[in-house]
Amino acid sequence: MAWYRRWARDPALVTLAFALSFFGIAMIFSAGVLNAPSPVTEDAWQRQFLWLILALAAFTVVTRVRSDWIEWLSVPAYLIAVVLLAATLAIGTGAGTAEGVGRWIQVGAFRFQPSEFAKVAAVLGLARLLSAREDSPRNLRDLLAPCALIAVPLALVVLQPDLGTALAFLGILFAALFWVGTPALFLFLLASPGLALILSFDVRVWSVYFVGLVGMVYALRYRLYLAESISVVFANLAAGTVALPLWNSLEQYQKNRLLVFLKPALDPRGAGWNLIQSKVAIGSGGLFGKGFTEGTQKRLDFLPEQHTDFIFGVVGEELGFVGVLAAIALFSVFLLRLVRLAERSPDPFAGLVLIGIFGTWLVHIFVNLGMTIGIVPITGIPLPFVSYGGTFLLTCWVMTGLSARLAGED
Amino acid sequence: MTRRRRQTGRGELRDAPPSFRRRLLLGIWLLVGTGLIVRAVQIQVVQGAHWSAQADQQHRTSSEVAAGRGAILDRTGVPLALSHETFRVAVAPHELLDRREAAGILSSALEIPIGQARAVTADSRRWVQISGRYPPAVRKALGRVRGIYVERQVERFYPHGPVARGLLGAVVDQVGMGGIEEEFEGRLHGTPGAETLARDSDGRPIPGETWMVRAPRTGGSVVLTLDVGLQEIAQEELERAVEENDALGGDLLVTDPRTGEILAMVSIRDGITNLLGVLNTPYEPGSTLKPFTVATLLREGRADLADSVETENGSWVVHGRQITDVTAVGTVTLARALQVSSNVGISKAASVLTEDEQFEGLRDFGFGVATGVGLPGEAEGTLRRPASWSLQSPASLAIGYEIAVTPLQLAMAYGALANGGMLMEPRLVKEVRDDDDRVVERFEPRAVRRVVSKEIAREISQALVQAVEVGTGTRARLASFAVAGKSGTSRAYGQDGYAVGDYFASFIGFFPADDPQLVVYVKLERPRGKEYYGGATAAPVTRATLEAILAARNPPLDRGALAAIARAQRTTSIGSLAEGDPETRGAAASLFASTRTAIEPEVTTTSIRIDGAGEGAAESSEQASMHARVTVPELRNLTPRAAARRLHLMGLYVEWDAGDLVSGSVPSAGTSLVPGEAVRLLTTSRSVRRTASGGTSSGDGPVEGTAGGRGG
Repeated sequence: MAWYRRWARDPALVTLAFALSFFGIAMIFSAGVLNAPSPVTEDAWQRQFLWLILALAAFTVVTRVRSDWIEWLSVPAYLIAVVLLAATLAIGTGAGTAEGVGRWIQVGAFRFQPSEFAKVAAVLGLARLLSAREDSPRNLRDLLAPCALIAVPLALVVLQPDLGTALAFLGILFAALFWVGTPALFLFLLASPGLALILSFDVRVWSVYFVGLVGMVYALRYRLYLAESISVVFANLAAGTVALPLWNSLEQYQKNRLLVFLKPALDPRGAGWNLIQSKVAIGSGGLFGKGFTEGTQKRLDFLPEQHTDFIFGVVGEELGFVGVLAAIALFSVFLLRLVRLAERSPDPFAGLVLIGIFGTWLVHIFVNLGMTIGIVPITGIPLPFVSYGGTFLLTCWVMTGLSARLAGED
Repeated sequence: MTRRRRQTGRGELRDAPPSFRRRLLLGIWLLVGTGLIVRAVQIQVVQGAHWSAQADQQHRTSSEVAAGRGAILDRTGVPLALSHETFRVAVAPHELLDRREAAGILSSALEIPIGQARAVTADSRRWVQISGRYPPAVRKALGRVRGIYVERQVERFYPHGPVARGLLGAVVDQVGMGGIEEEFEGRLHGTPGAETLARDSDGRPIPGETWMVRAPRTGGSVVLTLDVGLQEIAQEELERAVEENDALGGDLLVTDPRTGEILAMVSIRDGITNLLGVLNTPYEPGSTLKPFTVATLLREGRADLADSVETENGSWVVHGRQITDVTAVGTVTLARALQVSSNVGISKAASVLTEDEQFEGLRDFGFGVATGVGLPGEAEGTLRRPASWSLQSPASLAIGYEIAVTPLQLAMAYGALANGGMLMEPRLVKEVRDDDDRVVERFEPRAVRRVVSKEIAREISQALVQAVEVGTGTRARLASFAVAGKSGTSRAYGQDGYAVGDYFASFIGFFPADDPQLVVYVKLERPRGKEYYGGATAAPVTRATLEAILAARNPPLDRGALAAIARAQRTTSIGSLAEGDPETRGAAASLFASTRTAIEPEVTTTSIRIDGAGEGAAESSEQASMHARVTVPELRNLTPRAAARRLHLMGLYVEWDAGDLVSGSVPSAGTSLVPGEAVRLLTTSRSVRRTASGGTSSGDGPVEGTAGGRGG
């Protein structure tokens, strides 16, 4: 197995990635076993398998690149990603279950999702930026540059619109900032406008929150610059005020997704359908599930997007709580391995890349699983390694390759 | 790089050992993971049962399973109406796993050309309905093939086609409309079952995933008093008579006077045969009402059949109304006046009755009152009360005008004369059975009232025998038995009053006159032939009907009683011809021989046995040497019934299967046989199961009559 060790560089991580990928292909196969088979889902597992081979090739290439090259490449990669995202807005096309939104760029017969590449580029770019600093951020102004670096691709993704991937960028930002030693207080203040935005659905709740925030800023008057305090307060005030116009600017389907999250019965056959059906599928799986390929909700076409975003519904229905637990355990071990590698990494850039990858996958896993079991609003975001999707699988393996390469430097 | 990190001082967290940051990050994940697991426990373990129920409720729907409708049977158990299951087949081409294989299965199960099956399975539409209906075997063959859908339907089927359809009614959307189907809806329609089936999110049922929750219960069956053989004879004879006499229509009714049972009833009008004119169309009966005038006179003691009546040279004016006879008969007895149907004689004789006596006499015979036969739409006719009579009314009523009666009322009233004076309620339904064939309701014969005494009934019957022997009804005469009867020719009342040349020609007879078993009512509406008198047009129909009944395989007749009568006749008229034969058999033999003789006079044998007498075959060979030989005629393209009748008349035993047309016989035409030997008819069936031929369009082809309900 020496060749495997040599090829994988970090056999533990890569073995976990293999386990997740094959688990995914098995579930995609099952997702295609329907009572009224459709050509789209029936052969999806075979296509996913071909993509896995391609992904392994990419992995092999990435793990052979010198790590200082990777660090050097991060700047052009970031710039190219931004350009591609901007281009997507202009010439993007829809595909598969996301027919309506332009997230793909078509080059001949080849079609890929620039936002996936942008995630990798953002991880690298942010790691490069933060590792170049001598010390950890001491004030809020120090956070401006990293925030801006993430804000550009994030804004472009939001405009597609793809809120799920946007969340993944936030995961990268916060995980990386945390890793470089940003005080938790700063992270909270950074997140506070977002919190204000969410809480503004009720004026009273927002008012209480806002008073508390002002009080906190006052209490911290010796640790913050005046300009910073004022900025935070104004940002929160602005967030609370723009909430309504922002809400109105949302697409109807986005509004519905948020509304039905709070109350699925509002639109049980429309926007609430996915949420209800996913809960029915997973819930009816019970402790041990209905058996591989035997899920009735999936078979009878009640479970939507069962091979992509809602593949976890198939897991829950057919493998039951035992399967859900096993999947979460597998992901946990994978994430744990990433953090351990980051901790042991020889230089800040490597550690930051690993932590950035950890951040994006944490968001993906939490949001995807959360939406299938109804604790997170429905956002179209796939489950790493498991959901059907070529570019996404490729990205996952490229990220695994980067992790293995940079960790294995010692 | 390593050096750089070590050299520089960092913030608080950065200065903390990396393991602390790692733990914190993992703590976040732990929090997130725990949240996910707690939620998973909540919906999968705690609420698992609830979501399972939710899932079942989504993809399992309950649906009703139509119950088979109960059968309608004739008095001998022959089914007249049956329910059977048929199946329709549809294909969802894009759900098929293997289109070629599916096409093969379809082609062999439905017996359609492989090319057509291929076209169906290759169709680009989501749903393709295959035309035609198929027997239950199709469900077995196709029920579990994904993408092929088999839908069960319960269908009403009338094995005898148009026979008695007016009486039976119809079934529309599983509900009986008209006739027995409507009247006995509650008994016939059965209890639907329930089944649970799996459906996908588009509502399509999943093949093979069906659970019967409650089996449907077939409805009970209704046994009629009708005899399908008689009904067919009646229908044939009436159709022929209507055609021969160029009539607009007619009615034919055969009842059993002893019980009031209706054995056959047919009404034709404008070529439509499924009418109920027998009970829903009253008309002015004319002379056929005269026996009841005479019966009333006898009942009230106002006259005697031997009393003389002067017929005024055939024309009598009463209260400004002129009553005429066809031929002047001079002074005759009342009995003779009835036999020759003298209008003047009867109306003059009736003038001694009070209005109330006359009204009550007619009402007691059941006129002007619904008979209670229990079919939708029965008419009660018109019999006005004396208060609204004119001065002419008594004379008009005496000869059957100013009164409207239904054929059924008339047949029942004649039944009262035939059975010794008792008016019976007409009976069409013998019993109702549940789906296990247990009798749940029996309809016994019911007497309405005694109208006249036995003696009066007998006197009138004998007078009516003479009417057939020497009076206006001679053409109803049978060679073997005395038939009593009365003809009637009443003017038909049209839109512009009584129209010239429009008549109802009728004849009502009962048979045999001494101990009547059948009342045969015949009416022809507006005959346009050479003759229009009831005695000339309707009476021969009565005779032909009776002859056909006597020749039928298994008529509802009391053979023993007939034989006794025949024996009595023979001992008086023919003498000691019976020789060593067992009494009844010999009598029956001569009875049928006479029947045959009446039709084919050139064959002059006196003791031919006919199968209908119900005797074994052993005697036939024993007697064979005595009999004249007959030749099997050409029967091709006749209906089996017509062919059978021809053979019956020749004294041959007949066997045949269900079929529409005779294609030949065994032995074949031209073979010489001895009466009593058997002939088997070979038949072809027009209603061979037709497989789908209309490509993919939906349409209803006929299907083989695989009876789903109980046959008789």
